[in-house]
Amino acid sequence: MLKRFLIIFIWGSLLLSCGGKEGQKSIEDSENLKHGIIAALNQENSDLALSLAISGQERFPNEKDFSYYRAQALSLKANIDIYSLFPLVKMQLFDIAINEWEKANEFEERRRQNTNLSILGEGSLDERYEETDIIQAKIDLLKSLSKEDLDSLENEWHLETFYTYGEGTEPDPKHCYIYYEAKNKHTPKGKSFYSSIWISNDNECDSLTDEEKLELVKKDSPPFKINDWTIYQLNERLDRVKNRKSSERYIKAGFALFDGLPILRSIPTITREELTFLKDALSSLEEVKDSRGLSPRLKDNSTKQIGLIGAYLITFSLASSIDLDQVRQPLDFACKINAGKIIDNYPFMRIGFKSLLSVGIETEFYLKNKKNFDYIQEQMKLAPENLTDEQKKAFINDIENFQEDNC
Amino acid sequence: MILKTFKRIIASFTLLLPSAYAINVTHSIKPRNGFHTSTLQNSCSTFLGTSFSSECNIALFPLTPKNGVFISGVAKSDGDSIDNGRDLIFDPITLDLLRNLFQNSNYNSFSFNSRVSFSNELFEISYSPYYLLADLYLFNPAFPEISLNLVNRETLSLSSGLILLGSNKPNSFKVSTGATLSYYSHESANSLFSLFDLSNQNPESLILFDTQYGVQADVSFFVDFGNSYLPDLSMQFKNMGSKVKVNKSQAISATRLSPRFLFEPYSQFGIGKKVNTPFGAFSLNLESFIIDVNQEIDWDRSAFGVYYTLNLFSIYGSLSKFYKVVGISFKSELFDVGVSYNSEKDIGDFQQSYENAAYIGVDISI
Repeated sequence: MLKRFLIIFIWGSLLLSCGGKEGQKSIEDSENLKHGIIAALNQENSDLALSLAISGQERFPNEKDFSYYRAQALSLKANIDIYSLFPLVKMQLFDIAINEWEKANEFEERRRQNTNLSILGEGSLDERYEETDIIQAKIDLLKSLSKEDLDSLENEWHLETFYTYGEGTEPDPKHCYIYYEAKNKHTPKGKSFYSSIWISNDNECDSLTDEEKLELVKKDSPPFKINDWTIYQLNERLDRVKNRKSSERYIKAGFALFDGLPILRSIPTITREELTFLKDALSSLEEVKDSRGLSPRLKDNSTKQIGLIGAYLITFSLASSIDLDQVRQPLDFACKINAGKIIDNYPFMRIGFKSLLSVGIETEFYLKNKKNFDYIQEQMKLAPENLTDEQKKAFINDIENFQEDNC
Repeated sequence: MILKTFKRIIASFTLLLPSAYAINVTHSIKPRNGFHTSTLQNSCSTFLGTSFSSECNIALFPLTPKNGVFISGVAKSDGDSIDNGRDLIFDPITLDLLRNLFQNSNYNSFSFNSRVSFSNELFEISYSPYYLLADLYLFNPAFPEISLNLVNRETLSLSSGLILLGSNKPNSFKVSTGATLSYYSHESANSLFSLFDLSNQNPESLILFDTQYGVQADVSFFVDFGNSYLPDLSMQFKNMGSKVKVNKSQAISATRLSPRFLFEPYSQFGIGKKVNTPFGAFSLNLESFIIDVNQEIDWDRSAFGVYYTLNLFSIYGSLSKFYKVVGISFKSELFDVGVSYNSEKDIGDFQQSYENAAYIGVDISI
C-alpha cells in the first residue's frame, strides 16, 4: 500500500515538475527574448529587434508584449526615436537641468496655460461654457416663454425728452421726441434698445410727467416689443460672436504655426519607405492599446506613442508641404503652401489626425477643446482614404485661387 | 530503495523551483558593509582577526572583540554612473549624453553607507543613519522608459556572539555563533515611467516612496578546525524576518529592477583559509549566496576574496562573474582609509558593459 502510494506520489511529482518546468521555461524564454529585444533596441539594431519581436509573436501569440516591441522596432527602423525627435523633446523637457525641476514645473504650468494658443485650443477648462452657448441658451429660454410670461418681464425704462426743431430755427415745444432706453434682465450686458417717438401735444412737452410719457411710449408700440427685440439682439450678437470665434480660430492657427516654426524646421524628414514602417508601427500599437488583459504600462505607452507618432505625421506633412524658409509672418503659411505636396502627404496627414484623435479622447486637452475635436472627428469620418483626381484638382484650384487673391 | 525514493522526491521538488530571469540588482555596498567588506564583496566570512571580522560575519564577534566607538562611511565616488548622474542632474541633457546612456551606460547606480557603532567584549550596538541606493535603467530609444530603484534605509542593531565549542586559542578547534537583531526603517521607490511622462506629470508623482518598518535578525556560524589542512567554514542567515521581500511581479519583469541579496532573507556560506607567510598574512575565501535562504545557489554571485595585510598596509581583492575589485587601505591609530577600484556589472548580463568605478571608505576609531 505504502509502496503504491509512493509510486503514485513520485510519478505525480515528476509529471507535475515536468509541466512546471515547461511552464517556467516558457516564461524564462519569453522574458529572455524580451531582454534581447530591449538590448537590440538600445543598440539601435532595429533589424535584430524586429526579427526577435516577430519571432516572439510567432512563439508566444498570446503575449501582446511582442506586438508592442515590434512597434518599437518599426519606429526605430523609421528613424522616429528619441534621437531624431530630440530637438522637439528637448524643447519640452530639457530646456533646463533636472536639478531645477521647480522651474520645470513652472514651465509646464505656463505651457498648460497657453493651451488655447495651440491650433486646436480654444480656452481653459473654466471657460468650458462658450459665450455662444450662453447666448443660445438665453434665446431658447425666451422662445420657450409664453406671451403672458414675456409681457410680465420686468423692464427698466429710462426716458429722455428732446425738442424737435420746426421748419424754422425755433423749437416747437408742442412737438417733441420722446427718447427712451429700454432693457430687461435678458438684455445683453451693456446693451439697450434706444428709440424715440414723435408726439404732438396739446400742451407743451415739458408738462408731461414721466408716467404720461411712458404711457405714450407703450401706446405707440415701438418697432419691436421688448421680448422680440431682445431675441433679435441676442441673435445678432450670436452671429457676431460666431464670426469672431471663427476668425480667431484661423488667426490662432496661424500664430500657433508661426510660434511653432522652429519646431517645424527641426522635424526630421523620413522617406516614403520609412513612413510605411511608421504606419505599420501604428497598427501594432493600436492592436496593443485595444488588447484586453494587457499590463497598464504597455497600454499607456502605446496610447502615448500613438499620439506622438500621429502628431509627428501631421507636423511632418505640414512642414514638408510649406517652404518654411520663406515664412516671415503667420499669413505666409497659407501663401507658401505647396498644394501638390499637401496632396502627396494627405494619406499620412489623415492617419496622423485619426491616430491623434483616437488617443485624445478622455484627456484633459479633449475636454478643453471638445468642440474642435468633435468637429474634426466628424470631418475625418467623411475624409476618403485616397483623394480622387477631381478632389485633388478642386483642392489645388482652391489653394491657388486663395493665393492669387491674398498673397 | 527508500534513500533512492527520497532522493527522487527531493529532485522532483527542486525542478519546481523558479529560475532567476529578472533584472536582479546587487551592490558592492550592502547594508552593514563598510569599505573592507564591500571591497571583498562580502567574501570574508572566514577572515578571523581583522578589524572588520564581525562586519563580515557576526559569528566572528566573540573571536575578534574590539572595544570603542567607531564611525565608518563608504561611498561610490567616481565612475561613469557618477559622471552621468552629475550630467543628468546639473546640466541640460544633450543628444550625446542620451546616446551614451542608451548604448554604453544604460544602467547607472550610486550607493552610500554610514555607520556608528559602540563595541565591547560582550555586545555591539550600531546605528546606520543612511544607507542609500539609487539605480537607474534606461531602455528603448524608440519610446524611452526609465526603471528606477531608490532606497534610503536606517538601521539600529544589537549584535553579540559566543563560542559554542573549543576556545579562542590560535590553531585550535572552535565553533562560534553570533546574531544581530536590527530595527529598520526602509524607505524605497521602484518606479517605471516613460521619458514623456516627465513632460506631463510632476516628477514627484512618478516616484512614490513606500516606507516599511520592521525587525530582522542575522544568525551566523563559524567553524575553525584548528589545523592547516582543513578550511574554515561559515554559514550565515541574513535578514530573517524581514518584511522587505522580493516583489514577485518585479521578479518576472523584463524591465523592472529587483534588488537581490540586500534586503530580503537569504543565506550565504563561505569556505576560506588564512595563510601566514614571512611577508605577511594572506586570507582567502570563497563565498556563495543562496536565494530565499534555502532555495538555489546563485552561482553567478559567488565571489572569491583575498586579503593581505602587512602592519598598517592592506590590500584587498575580490573576483566574481560580475565584479572585479582591487583596493588598498592605510590604517593608523585612529583612521583607516581605503580606496578601491571596481569593474562591475550590478545588473549582471543585462548590463552592456562593465562600469569602472572608484569607492572610498573611512573608518574612525574613537
